[in-house]
Amino acid sequence: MEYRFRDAAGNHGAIIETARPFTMKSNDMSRNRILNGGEARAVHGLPESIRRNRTKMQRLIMIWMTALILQVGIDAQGGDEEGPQGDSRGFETQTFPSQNLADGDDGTGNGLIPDGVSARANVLPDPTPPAVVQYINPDIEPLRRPQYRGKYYRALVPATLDLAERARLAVNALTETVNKNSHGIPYMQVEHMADPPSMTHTVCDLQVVGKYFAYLPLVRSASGSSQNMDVEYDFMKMMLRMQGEDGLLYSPTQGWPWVLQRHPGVGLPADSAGVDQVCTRGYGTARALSGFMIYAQKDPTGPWAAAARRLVEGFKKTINIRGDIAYTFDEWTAPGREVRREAEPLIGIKGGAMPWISKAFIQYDRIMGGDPDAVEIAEKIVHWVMGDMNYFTEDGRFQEDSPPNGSWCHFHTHTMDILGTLYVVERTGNQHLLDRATKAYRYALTAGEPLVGYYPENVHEDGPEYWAQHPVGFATCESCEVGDMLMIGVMFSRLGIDKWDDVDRCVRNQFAENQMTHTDWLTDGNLDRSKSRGGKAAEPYYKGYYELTRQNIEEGKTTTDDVVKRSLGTFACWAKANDFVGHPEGVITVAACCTVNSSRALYFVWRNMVSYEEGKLTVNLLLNRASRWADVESHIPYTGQVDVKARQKLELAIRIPEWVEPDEVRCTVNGKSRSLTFEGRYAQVGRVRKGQTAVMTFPIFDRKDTVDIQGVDYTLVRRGNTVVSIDPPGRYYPYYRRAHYRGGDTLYREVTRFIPDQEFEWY
Amino acid sequence: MCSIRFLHLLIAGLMMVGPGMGAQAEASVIPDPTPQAGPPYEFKYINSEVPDFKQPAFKGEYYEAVVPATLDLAERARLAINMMTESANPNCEYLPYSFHEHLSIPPRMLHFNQDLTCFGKYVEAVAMMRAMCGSQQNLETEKIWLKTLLKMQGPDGLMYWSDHGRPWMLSLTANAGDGLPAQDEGQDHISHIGYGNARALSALTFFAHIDPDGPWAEAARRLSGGFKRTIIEDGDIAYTFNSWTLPDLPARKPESRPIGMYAAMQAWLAEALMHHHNMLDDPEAARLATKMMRYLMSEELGEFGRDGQFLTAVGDWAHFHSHGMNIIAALHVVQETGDRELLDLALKAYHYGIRAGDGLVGFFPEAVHISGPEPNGKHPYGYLTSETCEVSDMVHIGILLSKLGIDKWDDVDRWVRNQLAENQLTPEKVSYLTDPSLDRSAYQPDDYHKGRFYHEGWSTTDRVMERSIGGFAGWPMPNDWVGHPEQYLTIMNCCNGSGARGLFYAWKEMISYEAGRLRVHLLLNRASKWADIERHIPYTGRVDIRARRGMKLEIRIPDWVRSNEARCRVDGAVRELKFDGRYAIVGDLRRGQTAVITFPIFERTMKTKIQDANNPLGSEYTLVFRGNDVVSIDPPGRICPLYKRAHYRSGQTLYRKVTRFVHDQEFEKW
Repeated sequence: MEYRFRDAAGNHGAIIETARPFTMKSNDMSRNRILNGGEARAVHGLPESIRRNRTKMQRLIMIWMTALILQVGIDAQGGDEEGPQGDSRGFETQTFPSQNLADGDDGTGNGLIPDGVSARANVLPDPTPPAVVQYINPDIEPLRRPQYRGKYYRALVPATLDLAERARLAVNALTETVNKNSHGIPYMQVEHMADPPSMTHTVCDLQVVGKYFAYLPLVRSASGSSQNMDVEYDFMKMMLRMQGEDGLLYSPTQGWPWVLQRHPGVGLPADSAGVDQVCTRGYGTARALSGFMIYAQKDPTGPWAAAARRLVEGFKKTINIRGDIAYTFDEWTAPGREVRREAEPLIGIKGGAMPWISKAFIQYDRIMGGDPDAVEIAEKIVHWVMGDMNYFTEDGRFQEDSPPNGSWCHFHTHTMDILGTLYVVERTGNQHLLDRATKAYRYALTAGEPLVGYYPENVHEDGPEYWAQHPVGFATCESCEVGDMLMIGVMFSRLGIDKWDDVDRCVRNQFAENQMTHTDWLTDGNLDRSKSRGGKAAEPYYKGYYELTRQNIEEGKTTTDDVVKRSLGTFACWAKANDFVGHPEGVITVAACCTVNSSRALYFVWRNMVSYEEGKLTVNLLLNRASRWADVESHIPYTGQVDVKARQKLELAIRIPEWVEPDEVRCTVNGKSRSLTFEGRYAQVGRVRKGQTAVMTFPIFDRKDTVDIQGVDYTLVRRGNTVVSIDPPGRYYPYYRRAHYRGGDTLYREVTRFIPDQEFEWY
Repeated sequence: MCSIRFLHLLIAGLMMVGPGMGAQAEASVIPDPTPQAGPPYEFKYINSEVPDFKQPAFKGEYYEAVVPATLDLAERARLAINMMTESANPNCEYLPYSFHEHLSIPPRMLHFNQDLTCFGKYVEAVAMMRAMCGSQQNLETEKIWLKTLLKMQGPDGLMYWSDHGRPWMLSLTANAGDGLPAQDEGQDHISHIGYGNARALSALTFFAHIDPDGPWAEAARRLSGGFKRTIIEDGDIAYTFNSWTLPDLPARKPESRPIGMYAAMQAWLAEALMHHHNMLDDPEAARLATKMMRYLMSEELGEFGRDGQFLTAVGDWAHFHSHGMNIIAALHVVQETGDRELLDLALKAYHYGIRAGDGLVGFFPEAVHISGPEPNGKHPYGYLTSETCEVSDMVHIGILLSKLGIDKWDDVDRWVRNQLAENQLTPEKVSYLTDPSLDRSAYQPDDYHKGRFYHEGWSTTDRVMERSIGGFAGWPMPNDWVGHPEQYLTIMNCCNGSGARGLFYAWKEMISYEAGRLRVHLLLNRASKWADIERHIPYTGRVDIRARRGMKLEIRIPDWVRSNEARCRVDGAVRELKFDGRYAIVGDLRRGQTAVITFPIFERTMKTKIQDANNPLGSEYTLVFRGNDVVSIDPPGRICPLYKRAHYRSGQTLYRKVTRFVHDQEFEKW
């Protein structure tokens, strides 16, 4: 089947081939067809959501008319729904002129949503930009659409934690919590406790857009999900359009005025500074480098390798080197801004953000064919941050973010520093840095609760014990640092320091629970939002959040359109040990940083839970996993059983978790008993032929632990490493609703498994 | 039989047992006790020599299948078999234990006076369960039970037992509570007219259907005859002359007609006589049962008000289960006779029962004050819980009414999916009872309780948890499997038999087949010779029916689904549906074809007030329903919480691998 589209000027555009007729799942796809006019609209008509919503339709017509007036071509999109059978449509090259979309609509829909009005009654659509979004590099070269090739197949697998399925949810989150009326810019916040739930743009959108760009391909590659491919394409175009002549990535401030609205600690100029294009030198920009390298692997002839190289060179120019340390001259820059060589090294959380660059530089060196300068800079950055910058003590204790007057330490920044350090260690073998990272990791474990993988957003400098006096009562955990701790554990294990049980406990518990996997808590009519209404009894801080939410609505930064469904797969930003909602007064539940960082960690664990080298498959974590070498099916925690179905001849070794006694492990291969030997915790199964199944069994049992997590005593029942009960239970979105794990009989789930042709060199 | 529990407190004080005699084994296991008369010991039976017999076989087709992990009554039957055949004393001819204490340290099973009064119930129920699931667990236990039944049958056809070697069976001195003689009356062989012995008639009738060549039909005929001779016909009514009898004791008309519980328990007998008639053609049994029910439901007896209110001629508290059994027996009579007056009263009583409990989930209280139906809150023993017996009764009544053309299938659906299903001890629930975080210290028996039950040779602590999987709660709350005010008693064996019967009736009647037409009344998993039903509810609104033979198919769509939202495909092709009431007419289905019915499913929150041990006048519960399934209850239970069903809310079906069984026979006449 073939469709020809015409752009707004009537020129024939790309040929889109499909292996089957179009199905329209995405409002956005439909919208684009309307914008393009022509045959697509004639064939498909208006999508259901638009027929139901005349206001939205009128707005779209206005967009269309504006686009015509401005003679702005809109790239032809569509038909990029790639079914689970793996449609074999090839890449298509499309041409598109600059996409500076203006919109005369006020963007606020019907304005303020009164309390208690349901989303269906009065929807705030995704806001459109109040002004032209003027990219620094609007005209980009033809670009291939992404594609994820691999093998899809249906399978009945144990209904246990399946990171590929979680990655599928993450794809939903990363492609739906974006503003499709504004070039796909992400919403930084999801406010589930607002009524109706909403998503809002904030200053931090800019910090996360590079992360969306970089991590979406990772979770696609783990899951094979082809949901919203057009959103990914938007990200790709956006990042190239943001790359300045100096190689750095610049966000336009016009059209997205909120990116410079002052927010303490973000490290950007004030919105009054007159900066039209702004680059943050860490966070999202560093992550975008990872994204360029992923696409460079996927599309070696595309613009990605060059973009990565230019970005690295751009970064290098902003970095001062003094002896054995390196640092960026400031937290942000703008086109033509002078690099101050005399600037003093950044300290506190400002300095702590630099190892994002170290990590990206090490990846660049490894993936792009070697860059000794980048390695040297990366090492010198972490040498500063882990050493004389005094962000960590000698024994690994976290130190304050805002010296000399602060007393609180942002966990995520510290753990990103540990992670960046371990990347450097893996590349350089720097034992001093390894020692620093090891001590800091141990400290981090004591500051949180490794039995479940709960790590607090902030630790007092006199910690690791919990201090109740946090100025705004943050006694919660960000998924960011939970994901970091997972990655650190994996990195240590890769370095030969076995932390797989730390990873196992964390990924099965706090990490898995922090992902929003169900929406019933929002729809069953039982959610108590009484604390989130900013009433008289509310704490001033949260009252302020509530007012801010209302203000955001007034300023056109907010949508309430289908937020519940769109936010499925996001990760909690203020979680408690027993609840997705840690701040019922705070309205906000999800911050985009947590969703993207956790998506990254999700992939990282998925990628490393099995390793294959020279004919030997090593299974490090007992979780469900499809791979080109073998399929792993974990019955844990229903029963103590793991099945490994070989897809090729291999030597098999399986790591047995700490709660299992090695002499209690039994193994059969195709039903025939196989004696085991152990190397450390790795059971050596030996040779397994293609098509054979190794079944490993061992006793599993419940045990009770009582832990104090940030001043609250929790009683846990763990089955293996999996928490199956927590007391007291959560109130809003209670965690560990896992009674079905306790019956002893495996339940199964029908899934579409995916084995990617290409597993990225990304870690 | 649960009424006997009311008497425990009365007779306990008469037990001449020192407090130190109770075995509170902390470290060592108390094995299943041997009879106290000393080894080698054989119980006394009135008919100790019975010819050998071939054990009846449950023949059918077994096959492996992957089915939605939703309520599967056959799988529940498998669990029930575990409970009933394992919670029996292998050192005492597999005599069932009366009570379980799951929270005791260690958990314990106790012999007591319900061992034999519920014995026939077990034999009947295990047979039903085997017909459902094909489990062959502990077949040897069943054979010994059948042999015991035959040995209990006296020359007059009645079933007799002796307390010799089983000192827990009778109270020491006569009392007016349990309808049995006392130990000091020195009777060797006693026949209880009602309860378990009535169930024995049903059991024999059931086996006669399964194994026509065995001795069962004859034994049933003789037992029916024996019962008939205990019945006094008094004008157009009838009743038994006493609640128990002895060999050769003539049945004389009593000075006054029976009243209270002893009268009410005759409903068990009336129902059994109707079964015997239905299965083995015994018009005389049906005639007598009809006259008995005229009396039992009469204004004269005073167990029911004319508006259906539960009353009692003795005391202020109406035992729900007894009233439920009377309604059941009355409806059996209505099926036979078409008696409109009896039907009208039974229907009113059913509606009263719903008001006295909670019709949303199927919680029905053990006792209702005669000024009810509202909770009274002043029960003398604080019994504010529900017995599984009456939950099962109400399910049974709903089915019988539906079969009579008064559609109560949605009531049945809600109660089966919720309180009845939750009342069964599943492995998940055992995990809560064995939860290392459960502090059992607060639930240990006091000296009073030990004085009643903890006598040497009366109990065991051997593997109680695993042996009791599949049992039914005797004192559940709306939100907790454990609800007894003293909380160490959790199961009484009458509820096991009744709960199992409830499973059977729901399983048996959820489909009906006649003249080439299969009607599916309840959307639950089910294998049958006509079709296999796979129910995705409540994960999604979907039911698959795989035809095993050509048929016309009709499917009842529950109340919560709008008929015009139901869709059907047969082997992938759209099939337009027509409706006859709530029945979707799918039409012709060829062998091997699969009809898939889909409809929207959604969650809705409801608040209801139900009495519980925390609030005698009723606590407010917030229920989240998904279809007819409760998927959340608030407040949650604190010991062994019910409705841990979060996995149902994901919207994606989970599956289970099962061995399905299709019995060669159906039980249309039962």
